[in-house]
Amino acid sequence: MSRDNTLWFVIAAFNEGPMISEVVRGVAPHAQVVVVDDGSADDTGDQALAGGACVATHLVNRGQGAALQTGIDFALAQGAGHVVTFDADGQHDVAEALEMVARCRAEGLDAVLGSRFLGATVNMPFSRRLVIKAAVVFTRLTTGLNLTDAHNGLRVLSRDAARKIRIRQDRMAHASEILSQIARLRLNWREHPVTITYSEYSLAKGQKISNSVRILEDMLFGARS
Amino acid sequence: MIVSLVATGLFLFVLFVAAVRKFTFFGLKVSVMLFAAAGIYFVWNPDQMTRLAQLVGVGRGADLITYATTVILFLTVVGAIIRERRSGDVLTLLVRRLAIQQARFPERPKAGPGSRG
Repeated sequence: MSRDNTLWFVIAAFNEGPMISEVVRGVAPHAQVVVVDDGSADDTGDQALAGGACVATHLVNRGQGAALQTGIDFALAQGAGHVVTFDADGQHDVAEALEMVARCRAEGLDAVLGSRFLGATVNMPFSRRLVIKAAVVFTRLTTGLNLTDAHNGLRVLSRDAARKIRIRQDRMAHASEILSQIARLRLNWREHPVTITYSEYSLAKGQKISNSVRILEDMLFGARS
Repeated sequence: MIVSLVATGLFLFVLFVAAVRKFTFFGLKVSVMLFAAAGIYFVWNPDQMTRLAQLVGVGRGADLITYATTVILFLTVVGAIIRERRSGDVLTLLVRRLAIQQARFPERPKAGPGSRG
């Protein structure tokens, strides 16, 4: 098994001590990993480091969007050729992420976006499905992108795309912001079927439906110019 | 009488603060000063407030004050949220810079013959 040192997985983590080491160990044999410890109160950073990741630590919690941008900046500075954004809670499948990278390279794409609705979901609550479907309709209307999924954290970006996209929404609205920038920058993108596994852990850690109100508020007040 | 004096004192304080403080927009400084000056005038001439209210179709001076206060409060809250977000943005940039500068690297096993890069 060879490790691709031009491929960087960026993982934003907040209080993911119990899971992060396992997630990093799953990725590290294949690619470089940077975990951005977003002001965790637990030992997330130490666990990630022990798992084999580089660790950049936010001294105070700034949100997933801010953490991903930190990780992308770090990966680009280390010479990343491709960047994968990957969730810290074990929802994503490394093999599928590597398939997405291979597709990105083979087809010369700027971005490959994971879609759970082209692929599969395991134990996805109905309420979450409903909220994500609503987000898909909203994203299609606001960006014009003909997507089947929105707010899927598994994405592959080419170096060029990762440099062009700047995440200014510090919190959860970054997912919509990335799609909006992909549309605005006219990047060459495709969706790729992925499997999202909702475990008891990830459901407890993941987004609450009430967060959608916060996302709308963030989008309303915008981000720094 | 005491209420009028207290209200006048408050408006004078706002007038003084607006006069000495720097504002992002000069128009905002003028608006706040005009608001405070108008406040002092209407405290001592309440009938004029009622006339003004009737002029704009509100009816009573007290109603006009309520509406104006609501709008001003709303704008103040929106302004505070925007300022808080700007401060947050600066904090994010600072936190990011430090995180990257002070990143920790894992101990690497020696590269094998199959490794790339």
